[in-house]
Amino acid sequence: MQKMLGNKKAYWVFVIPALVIYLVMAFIPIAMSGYYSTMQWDGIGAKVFIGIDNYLELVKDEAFLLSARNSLILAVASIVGQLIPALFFALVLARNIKGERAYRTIYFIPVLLSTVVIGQLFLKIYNPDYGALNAILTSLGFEGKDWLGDKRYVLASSFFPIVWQYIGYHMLILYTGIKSVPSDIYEAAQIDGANERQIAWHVTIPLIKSTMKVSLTFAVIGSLKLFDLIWVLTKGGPLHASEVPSTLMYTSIFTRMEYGRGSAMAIFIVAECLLFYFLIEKFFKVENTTY
Amino acid sequence: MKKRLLKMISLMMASVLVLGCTACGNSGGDAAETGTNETAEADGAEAEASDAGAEADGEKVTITLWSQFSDPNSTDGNYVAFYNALESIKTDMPNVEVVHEGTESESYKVKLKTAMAGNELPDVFFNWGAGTMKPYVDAGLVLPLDEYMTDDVKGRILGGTLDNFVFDGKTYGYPYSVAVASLYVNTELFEQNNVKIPETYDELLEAVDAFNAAGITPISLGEKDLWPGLMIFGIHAIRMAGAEDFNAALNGTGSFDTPEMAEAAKRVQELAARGGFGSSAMGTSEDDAVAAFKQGRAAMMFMGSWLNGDCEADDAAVKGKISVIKFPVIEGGKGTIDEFHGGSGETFLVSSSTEHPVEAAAVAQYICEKMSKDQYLAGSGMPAWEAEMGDTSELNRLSQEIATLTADATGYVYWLDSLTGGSKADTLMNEIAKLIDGSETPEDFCKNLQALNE
Repeated sequence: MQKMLGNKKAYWVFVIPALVIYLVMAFIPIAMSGYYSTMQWDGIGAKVFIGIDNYLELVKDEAFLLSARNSLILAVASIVGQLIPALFFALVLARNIKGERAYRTIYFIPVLLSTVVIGQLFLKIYNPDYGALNAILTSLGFEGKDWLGDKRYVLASSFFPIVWQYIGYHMLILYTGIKSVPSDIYEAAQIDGANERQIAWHVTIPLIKSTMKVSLTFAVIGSLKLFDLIWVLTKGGPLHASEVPSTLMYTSIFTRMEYGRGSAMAIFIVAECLLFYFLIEKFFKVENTTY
Repeated sequence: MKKRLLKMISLMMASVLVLGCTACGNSGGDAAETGTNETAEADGAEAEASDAGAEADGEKVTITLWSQFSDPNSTDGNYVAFYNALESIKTDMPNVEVVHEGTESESYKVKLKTAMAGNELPDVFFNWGAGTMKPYVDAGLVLPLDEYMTDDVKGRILGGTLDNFVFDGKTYGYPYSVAVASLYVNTELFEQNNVKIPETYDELLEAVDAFNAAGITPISLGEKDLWPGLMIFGIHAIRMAGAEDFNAALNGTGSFDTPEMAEAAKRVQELAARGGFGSSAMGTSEDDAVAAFKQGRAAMMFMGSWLNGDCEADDAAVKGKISVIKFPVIEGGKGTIDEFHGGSGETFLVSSSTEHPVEAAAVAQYICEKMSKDQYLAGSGMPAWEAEMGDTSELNRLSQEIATLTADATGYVYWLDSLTGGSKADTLMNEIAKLIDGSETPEDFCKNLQALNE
């Protein structure tokens, strides 16, 4: 064993399969998209090289700018709407309350449901004719709305299930983080006379910063590249009001047959995700806590 | 040592690459797999087995066939006709084994494009004509069928039905149906609410007001799916500008920036603002819109003749209560009452890379001709081929009514999305949605459409 580990070449044997799969499945497609994004191409016929024109057009494209804006709104909504409740639930659950396991499971159920199931569920809830939401509103004396058909409400209506679905996911990540904090630290705090709120605020949260960073990264990147729920609920409509970059990319490529332009959007999404990843790394520097 | 390591690495890389390739190749099919796929595979296996055995008595050729007819149990007239044809081809063309793979419409479009990019087209495949087909023709992916289209065959095809399949004088597909849009009215709701079935556009508006007052959706429209809006604008433009001018505008030789087009756009917008499509058309899918009409919750629907089957289905609350009428003329418009929205535009194409062009063309022809008759009898559209229809007493009542309506047709404008295709169709759909939603003026709408022509 020692001998083998000493042989640097042996590392390669173990690294290469994974590396090759990564290259083939992730890196090469991205590079190909980069190449296609410099072309004017309908996906079938001849490609014409047009340099960065696709990107220049994106900047002027109202629908695309709207979609980019929407994805940023979703990122903020996810941070506020997912991480804060998730942190709250995790802090409460980690205190060995009664029925901890049951609650943990219940909060995690939406994560386990398939996105399409959730989409169909909310399509029925939002339906203007027979949906549960409008039925409740009208019975309370309010006027029902066309939740997914009206530009004014569609963004909130379609983002709600997205944010809601992953609260349990982040709760579980943070919960695990909290559980890994050794109990003697809490005991010390208690002996010093700290109450529950002070312990949470001054002990637990600072100690799980690195876990929180993981959650934050997932929430932001997940929002920026989101596709599925929007596609099931609205397909980006009405009039691009709920469009996000990946739904617009899909319609560009498969409906409009603008392969080059769609690829430019794909590259934009990759670049945007990387940018935010590095920003989070930079502004959220934490030392890894070891106990 | 070093050499051996290099060898090992390159071998591994090669194998992973190969694995990766096959994985990609499969995923296209896997993602689109449907119930029929299994039987198709079983058929394929049989075909191979019988290939070996049949060599003595003439070769048996396997022809792969893709279509959007994914559900063998559907009651949609086109589906029924297609599966009939698929069954009868076994006895009528014993020298070929047809292996069919059906994929639901939206996934089908994606699957086809992926297959084209990868040069993995089947021998014969379903497709729409005109603008949707043009990129495939331009890329040389489909086979011209002129040499297989004998005068005898041509003689049986009804006039005008090939137009959407001809490019540069070459014909690429056989027609199988002529679908026509008309105004479906729920006569029961009209009677109950004392509303006159509209003969003029003003009467249509009166009916809209009356039904809105009664809390019934006047015209059911699934604008969430965008394409239904095309049909509403389409018929308004036909009535205002006339089929000839509208066709010219669509193919780029005419203009959208005309007073008639602006008036058509204005009428659509006013109709929507008046509540003509109810209060939630923008968020209603086509399925929901059809369901509302089928259940008698909406009084009218402007839709293609494929709606006939739904209206007369046993589970439809409105069975026997629906009538079809011509969309009323708009006063001051150039269009007449006998100009229609619709036409022939769905077909089966033959891939240019097929190994058996003769058999593939024969299969495409057989299916189209057979479907033409059967889909008519099943109550879907008008036939595109001459045929002895036999006993038509069982024929869908609405199909017969439409046949009477269109008997004196003077002009047709085909479905706008298939006609224009690709980005043009998508822009058109979004512009019309803006119009219906009220977020664009008719003047800007016309300018934006005209911009597509320039």
